[in-house]
Amino acid sequence: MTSPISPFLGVLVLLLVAIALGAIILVASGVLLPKIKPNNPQAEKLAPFECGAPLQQPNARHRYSVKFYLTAMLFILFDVEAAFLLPWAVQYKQNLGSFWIMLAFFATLLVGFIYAWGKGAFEWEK
Amino acid sequence: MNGFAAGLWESLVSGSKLIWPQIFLTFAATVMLWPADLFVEKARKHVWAPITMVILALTGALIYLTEPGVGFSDMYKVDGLTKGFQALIVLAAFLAVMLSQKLLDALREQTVEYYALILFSLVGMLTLVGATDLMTVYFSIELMAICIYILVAYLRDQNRGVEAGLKYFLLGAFSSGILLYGMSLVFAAVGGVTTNLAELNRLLPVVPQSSSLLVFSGVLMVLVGLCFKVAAVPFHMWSPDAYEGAPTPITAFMATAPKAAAMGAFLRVFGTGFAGVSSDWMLPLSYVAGASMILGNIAAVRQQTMKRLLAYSSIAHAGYMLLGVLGKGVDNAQAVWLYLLTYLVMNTGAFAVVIILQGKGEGERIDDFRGLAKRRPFLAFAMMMFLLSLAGIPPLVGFFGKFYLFKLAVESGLTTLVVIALVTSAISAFYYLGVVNQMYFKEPADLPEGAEPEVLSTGMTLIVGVTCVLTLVGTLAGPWLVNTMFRITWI
Amino acid sequence: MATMNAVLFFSFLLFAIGCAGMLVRRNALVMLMSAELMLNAANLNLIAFARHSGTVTGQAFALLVMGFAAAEVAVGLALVVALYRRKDTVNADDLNLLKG
Repeated sequence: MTSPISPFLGVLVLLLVAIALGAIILVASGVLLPKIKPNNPQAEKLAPFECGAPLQQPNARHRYSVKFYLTAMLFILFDVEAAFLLPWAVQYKQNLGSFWIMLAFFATLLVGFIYAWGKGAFEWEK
Repeated sequence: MNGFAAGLWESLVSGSKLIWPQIFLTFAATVMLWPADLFVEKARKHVWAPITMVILALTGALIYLTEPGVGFSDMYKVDGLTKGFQALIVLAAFLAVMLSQKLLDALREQTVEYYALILFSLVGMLTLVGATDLMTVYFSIELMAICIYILVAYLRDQNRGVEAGLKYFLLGAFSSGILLYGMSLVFAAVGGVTTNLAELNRLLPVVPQSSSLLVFSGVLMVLVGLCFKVAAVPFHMWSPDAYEGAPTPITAFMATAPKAAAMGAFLRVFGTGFAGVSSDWMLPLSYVAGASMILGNIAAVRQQTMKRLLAYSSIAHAGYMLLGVLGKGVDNAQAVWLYLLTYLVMNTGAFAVVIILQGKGEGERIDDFRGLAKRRPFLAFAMMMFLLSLAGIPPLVGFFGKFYLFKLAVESGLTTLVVIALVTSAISAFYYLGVVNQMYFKEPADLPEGAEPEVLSTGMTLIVGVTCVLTLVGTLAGPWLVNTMFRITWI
Repeated sequence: MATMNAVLFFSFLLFAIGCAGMLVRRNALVMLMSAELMLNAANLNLIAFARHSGTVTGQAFALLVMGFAAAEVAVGLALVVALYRRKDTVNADDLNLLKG
């Protein structure tokens, strides 16, 4: 077993399994499923799935509710602050004292969160 | 706690002595937003103004009490330069809060956010003038800028305000991208080991030949980014629009405090960090300075509105101040500080007059100043003093600052630029005197019948009176000013 | 240094795309994205060279830049929404009230 490609044997197996799985799913849903499921098509069932906005609209450039933007903005802020957790978590075991520093950081974030809450930024229906 | 954590803790504690003003401001502004604001009724939000002033006064005291030193792994430094510029910035914010009252009361737009944003932007500016690391420079600039974007668009029911805010934001984001990319190139050029300005000053002149292009482009991009912040030509496009669209007190604030902070950063970054590679930036910066003087003053001549005129004049003044950066050395930094102090006095006065007139639906257009001397002799006289001082007419305080700056620039061998500065000062006298001409020698267009002159509020009278007196007799305080100025030193 | 040159080239490419987007595109949202691209180009440099030299300064810098970029985007989006409410447009060419 000194062939130069031997380290890639696992990749080959993975590739074969992936192809096989894809084929099985395709065959199963395309051939087997029509035979066992009840044939009962409806408009909603045939529509492609999309979250949030209703799909049945004449053009894509309609006005979104401003509520989406507000939520998105707040999400961006709090989401990215969570990125600061990563370097802290990586070195946490060597530096247990940093727990309090992180706590202070989150206390600061919490004030921002409470402020946004108090301003009614999280109320969907106003 | 193990060694590393103990070291971290120790450096935090020892460093925090240096940033008490910032800590205090952050804490105060946060408490103002939440929970203190919950206890203030909607109709009584104006109580935040005196509270903010008290906070600013306390911050000033803290700045005064802070001992010089270096902290946070050499990322922040308190010395004479830091303290001098911090004092200027807090003073500018204090005046801006006073100026805001009339407008905010009239529009019923008093909110706690307005004051909290001013305080937060102040945190950025106070940190910026003490920043001795590119990291600190970038973050404090961003903190300052983000707060000011919002303040510019504060009157969100007015098309002009929102438009100005968005324009300022887009160009500001563009410039901060350039600034950051320049910093990353400088960081790359020294091999990715440091962003500290003192270290960079040691490493940059000795980078291998293959990296010299990186140094050059990096330094140049940092230059561009900072020029955006001080609104120097050709990176000034945002400033007249933002100045015009912003609420007038914020315009007065923007023309002084962020400019002072950005000038402080200029002196720090180029005076200490990039001093070793000055051959890379001296020539571009002198072109920028010259272009700012020429274009700022010439474009101001054809302006129809007062705020735009003052915006272009502030571009020109930024050009003059860049002479101090070009001159290098601590005495030039002192001269820039003195110039900013005099500029703060006369600029605030001029904006105060504009705000007073604006309350009656005028003051925007220069034509509105027609015949002001007959209607409001005191205001007209004060405005004349401010404008003449901005032009640098001798006995007034503006001349004093200009004289000092130009004298040092000549000694530093910047003769050509000083000649340009003098010629453009003469041009500036032309448009400033144009306004004076309107006020004193033109008949008022149409005086509304029976419109009694509005009673001035105490705060506005105080500002106009005090700044007018300072403009008039500031030169007499020259020895004292120079004495104070010499305490603006680097350690 | 060959790989470092590649990093520099790639980050410059990103930066150039961002810059061009800022200058050419007139949609405020697209301009916002372009500004983010410029910041990310710088981040790439910072991280790559910090890794190259084995120090953490650049990595910390990049991480903090990400935080600030998020704050900047939030403010920018808020301004865009405010403009859209007033003028029904997000086109930078329609910002034409202030001139001179």
